[in-house]
Amino acid sequence: MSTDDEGRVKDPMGYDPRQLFSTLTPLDHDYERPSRPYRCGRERMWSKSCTIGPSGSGRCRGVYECAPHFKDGRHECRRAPRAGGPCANGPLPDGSCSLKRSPCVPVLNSRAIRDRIGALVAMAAVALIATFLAFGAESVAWMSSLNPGDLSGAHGRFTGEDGCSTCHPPHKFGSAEWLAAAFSANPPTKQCVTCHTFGGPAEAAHNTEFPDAEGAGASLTCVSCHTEHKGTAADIAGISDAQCNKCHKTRFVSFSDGHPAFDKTYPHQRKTTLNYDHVSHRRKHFSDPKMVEYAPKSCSGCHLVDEARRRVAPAGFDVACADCHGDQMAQREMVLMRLPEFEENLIDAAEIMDSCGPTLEQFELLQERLESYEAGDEPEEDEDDEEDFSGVGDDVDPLMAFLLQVDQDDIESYSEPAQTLIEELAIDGMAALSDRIGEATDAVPVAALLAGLNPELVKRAACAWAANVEYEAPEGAGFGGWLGDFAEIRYRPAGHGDPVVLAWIEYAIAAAAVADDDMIDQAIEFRDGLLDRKRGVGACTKCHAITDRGATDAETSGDGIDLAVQWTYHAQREGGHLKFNHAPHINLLGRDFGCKRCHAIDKDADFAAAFASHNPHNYLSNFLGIDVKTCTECHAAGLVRQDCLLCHEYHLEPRFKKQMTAQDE
Amino acid sequence: MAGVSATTLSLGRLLVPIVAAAVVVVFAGYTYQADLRLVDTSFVTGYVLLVMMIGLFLLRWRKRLSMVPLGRAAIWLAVHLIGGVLAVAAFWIHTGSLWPISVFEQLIALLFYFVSLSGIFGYVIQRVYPRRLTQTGREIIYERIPAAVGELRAVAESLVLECAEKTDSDTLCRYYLETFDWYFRAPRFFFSHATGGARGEFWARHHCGTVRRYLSTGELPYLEKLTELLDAKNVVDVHYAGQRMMKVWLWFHVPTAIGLLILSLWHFLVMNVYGS
Repeated sequence: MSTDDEGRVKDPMGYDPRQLFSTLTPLDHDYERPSRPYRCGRERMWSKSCTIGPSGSGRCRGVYECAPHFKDGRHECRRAPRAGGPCANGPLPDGSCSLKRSPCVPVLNSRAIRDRIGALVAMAAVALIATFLAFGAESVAWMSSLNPGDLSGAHGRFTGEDGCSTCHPPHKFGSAEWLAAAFSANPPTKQCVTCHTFGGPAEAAHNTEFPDAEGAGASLTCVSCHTEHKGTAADIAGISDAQCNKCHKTRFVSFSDGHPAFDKTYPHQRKTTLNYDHVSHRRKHFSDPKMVEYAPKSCSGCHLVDEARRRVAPAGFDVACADCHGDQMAQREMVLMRLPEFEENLIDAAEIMDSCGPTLEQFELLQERLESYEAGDEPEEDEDDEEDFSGVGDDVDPLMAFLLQVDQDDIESYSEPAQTLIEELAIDGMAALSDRIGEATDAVPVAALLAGLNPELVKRAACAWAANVEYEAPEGAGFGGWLGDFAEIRYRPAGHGDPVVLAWIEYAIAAAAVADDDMIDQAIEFRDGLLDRKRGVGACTKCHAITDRGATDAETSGDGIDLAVQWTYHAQREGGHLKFNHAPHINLLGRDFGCKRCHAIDKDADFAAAFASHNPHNYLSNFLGIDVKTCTECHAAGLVRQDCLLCHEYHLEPRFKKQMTAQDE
Repeated sequence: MAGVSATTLSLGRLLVPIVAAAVVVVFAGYTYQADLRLVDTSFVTGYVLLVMMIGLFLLRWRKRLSMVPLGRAAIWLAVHLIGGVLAVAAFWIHTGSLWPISVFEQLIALLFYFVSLSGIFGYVIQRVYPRRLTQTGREIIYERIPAAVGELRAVAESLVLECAEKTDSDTLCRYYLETFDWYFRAPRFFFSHATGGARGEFWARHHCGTVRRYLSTGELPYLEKLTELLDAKNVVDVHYAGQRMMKVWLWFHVPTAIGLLILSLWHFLVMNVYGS
């Protein structure tokens, strides 16, 4: 395309527009290469660019068409051929180009623009990180680049002044240490266990060592399951059924599809603490016309269904039992001391007289003699000073035999110690008894054992026995508690849960446990007398089970020494990995008769036999075991939840090491 | 032979997505199984994702170092495309959700999605526009478009001046000043051309038809020539719109990828300090 001096195209009608698209190579300008960052600014005006183009730094070099060359005394135009060749006017006399144009503002090419935007974004990103860092994780947590999200509601309040470093120690490090921490392991488990504790190793599966399990050595950390920073409402305690199935050898699709059958006796494997035979009560006692009015109409008559959780505890003696059994405790007394039969009186009568004064017979005898003296008569001589000495019983009572360390039925063995004790009681008071009780074992305070025992009663009884007469209780005695009567000091329980009775039973158990070989027979005789279901004090063990703590399984009973009476119902939480809540089931099935849906009575079970033994592992409930199908009637696909965590807990006895909530001062 | 080649090509094209899908399945399967074993997979998936992002970013340097024999650019681009798709899968596997919780991670996710979507947009553009430009039957280098616009404008102006001089009629000249001058000043109807429309062509024909009825016989040949120039300008405009789009999308894709990489490296560092 040629133009005239005014810039007009010389032959516009002959112009062929196709030529615009036909000359792809070679390039008209070397700076057309994409790697050159700047292009002629005339392109901005959609005009043809100059042939020289801008410099690499973006300076316009197209003000002049060329840079004339001085040769042989004259200046020559050096305009490039692709720009039209040497111009007609040629250089000016001063050697400058005659075709001067206004300078342009070079424009960046596309790649350069992209690079500049990239540099800006990179700087913005770095600035953003710095800005986010400036907002400390504690001050404006949501803005911090260190905070991947809010803590769960349970943990949000417990970081305290330490902030992030409560769980992430590197947070308080200096810059160098902070960077170094990126290349070292910092599992937060160590921080977790500053607050949390379990019934076993924190990093062991289920907090339990499984030495034979496949992959037993695999390391688990708290964050293997509990991933924090997922928001205040996040559930961070979840574990899926598939994850359970991954480790457990017995694998199944779901609870309703393949879950192993429950044990035949589930959930009645553990011996109950009460010897309560549901079958005999229902069949025999509740149908007795004399008792029918006291019989419960449903399970809720005796069990606290409104307070049901894992267990549905009995309502307690006063509510559930007292109507029929309320007066039975007071009928079972305990003999503290009984005057045995002696062959020979070894007691110093003069000292007893000094300490106790004369008995009624002695007083009357003295009075007769005094009257004789006054009348001038000679008093009659005693026919026989060595009178027969006799008690009311055949032998010493078990407690005395134990305390005095004598054979209960060997009169030669116990005669002297028993009389010594009586003499001491008469002269020195109750200390003679309490000291001996305390010497046997200090497992139970003597004060608890002898609570309410009047020292005067003991002294009077001892004085009477020392004087070879029966103790006569004052009028009106016998409402309960300690009482002296003829040749005995006894304790009559006031009712259920009598503390003195409990103390004596615990004392007897402890004494038997610590007794040496010489005394073990007496200790066991004493203990078994109290624990006897038919004769024992307060009839406690008629209902409360006795456990031999030495028994390890149903076949291996203990030696009968280390016993315990189950005074309380099973604790609410038994530990382990099983959990169950009766409450929603009762709510759904009904509080009175809904229990029968799962708990069916086994009429043929020999329930009583289990309580003849003290082995806690030897037990046969009078309820049938629950079949898994009973549960899957509701807990199945498409019905009620049936995931593993509904009934099982991963951790063993999760607890806190310290108090986690603030207390008002 | 041609049939065999076509079959081989089809199999080759099928093989790539199949292999990519298999990689995703294997990776997702590994993380799922590890998760079942209570193994924290967030670090493994994070490292893989970071390596993938760095690998994807290398395409930028492959372009810069075109003089170094680092393999064919087409292969690099194919790897970039497949890697990009795999990175999206790896991102979801890593985060376990579509949208993270914290503001900083949301920013990373935002950039990641923007880079991914812009990449998809760019891929579509690179597949659509070259064909559309080829359909014009003309080729023009992007850098020469300003000169071509200027040349067409100069010819058009000279043409209408010559028309006025030789026909003693200024009808075409005045109409040019009122309408066509605007058209020749710069590329026009960008969005119409970018979206495959033909507004530019219709506009030119409409105005040629409008002015034709007012022209004398002597002026008509000039109008015909001007129509040629208008057609050429329309082709230039189509090329400008297409090539501009093919360059400009990278203004968003590449810088955002740089920002994403920087934020991801910081995230990597923080997670290793606090989370390991």
